[in-house]
Amino acid sequence: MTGMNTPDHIERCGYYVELFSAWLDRSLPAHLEREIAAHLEHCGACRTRLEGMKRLLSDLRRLGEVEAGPEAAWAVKRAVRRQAVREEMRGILRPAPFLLSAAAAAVLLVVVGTTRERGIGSTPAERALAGQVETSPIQRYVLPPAVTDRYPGSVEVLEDAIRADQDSTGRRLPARIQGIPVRFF
Amino acid sequence: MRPDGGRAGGAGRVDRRRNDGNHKAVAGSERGLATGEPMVLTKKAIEESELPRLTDEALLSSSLEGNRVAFDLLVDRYYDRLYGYLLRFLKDPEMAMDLLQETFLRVWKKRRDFKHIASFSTWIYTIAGNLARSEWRRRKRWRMLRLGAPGGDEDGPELELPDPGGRPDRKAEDRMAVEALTEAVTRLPERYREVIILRDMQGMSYEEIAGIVQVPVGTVKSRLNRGRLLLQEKLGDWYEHS
Repeated sequence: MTGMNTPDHIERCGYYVELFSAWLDRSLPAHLEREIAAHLEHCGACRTRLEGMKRLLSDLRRLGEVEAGPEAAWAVKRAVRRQAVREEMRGILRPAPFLLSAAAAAVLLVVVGTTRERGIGSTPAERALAGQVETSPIQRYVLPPAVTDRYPGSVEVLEDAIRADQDSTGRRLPARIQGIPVRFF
Repeated sequence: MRPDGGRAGGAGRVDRRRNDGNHKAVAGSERGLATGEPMVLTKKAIEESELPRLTDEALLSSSLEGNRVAFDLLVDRYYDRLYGYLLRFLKDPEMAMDLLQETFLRVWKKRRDFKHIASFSTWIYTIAGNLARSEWRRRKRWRMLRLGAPGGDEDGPELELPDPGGRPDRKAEDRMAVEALTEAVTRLPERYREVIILRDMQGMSYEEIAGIVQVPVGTVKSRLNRGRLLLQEKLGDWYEHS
């Protein structure tokens, strides 16, 4: 405020200072831009303040130039890949088929129990469901390299969850995970 | 600001039709990049490194079909900027790195929930911002418990800035100014800090910021104005005088 320090003028400076931010962002209407430009022409204090604001924005921009480094990208990608593998494994070993068969088995057990009470003779299926034959044993598999490359280590899985493949004649195919044969031990 | 290489790369969108479940090429698919016609990702396109030309949204769609290379490209496009955002928000490089990883993991896990009404950029920044705010509040609660003092929106004790009075040399002075500015930004109330970082450090538009912070554009402008003036006041020795 070169030589114009009246209270009214100081008040007006405060008004213009509030607009500097938007003015620097070019987001003010044209008439306000003109008004500020006119004020700046004769107000040294506001020019100084505006220059300070410009320096501040320039330094903030520099502060934003941060590099995380390629290791950060690599670490993120590795974490995402691990997550993706976990999801795939869950997809392969999802319990749904077993739960469905378990639910079916439970229903059949009730039926068998009822029929036994009624004196009907036992079939192989009935014996199985009565626990004389193990229907869904938990098996341990050794996974071949093609699988372990993607899913490290061996895993415990339910036999029924893996041996789901059948050919067109109903013949059971070797146990597979996503088309790759696996074997029991 | 627009993420570089993002939408600028072309208007291609991924057509998820499959004719045999094996992502077979559909005639004309490669024209999609240049003309904006529907485009199908083909093995050939991947082999010929077409992926970098796809938009962020198209890359995300591709990753839905199991294309991890597409997701890696999204990581490449965003990790630096997101790290800068998190670092300036929290002023803790280690935590910024942890949250960077967590942000991408969340994007991966929720990639099927992405709604095309928002841009990918807005979406990922919103996720990162939510994580950063939660962490900041957790720390604030912890500080309050430790100090037993009620905390306002402005955090911690009075800001102690390096004294620019001595001014040994230009380089040292610049370093001090950067330190002071970093500290002052960290001390800003959260609502001002995030818009300052997004606008003045990351160069985003008001509209993008409004989408990320989930407030109207007018609120973004007023917060930005208030935040800048607060910084200028706090750092008067550097930014109020010639």
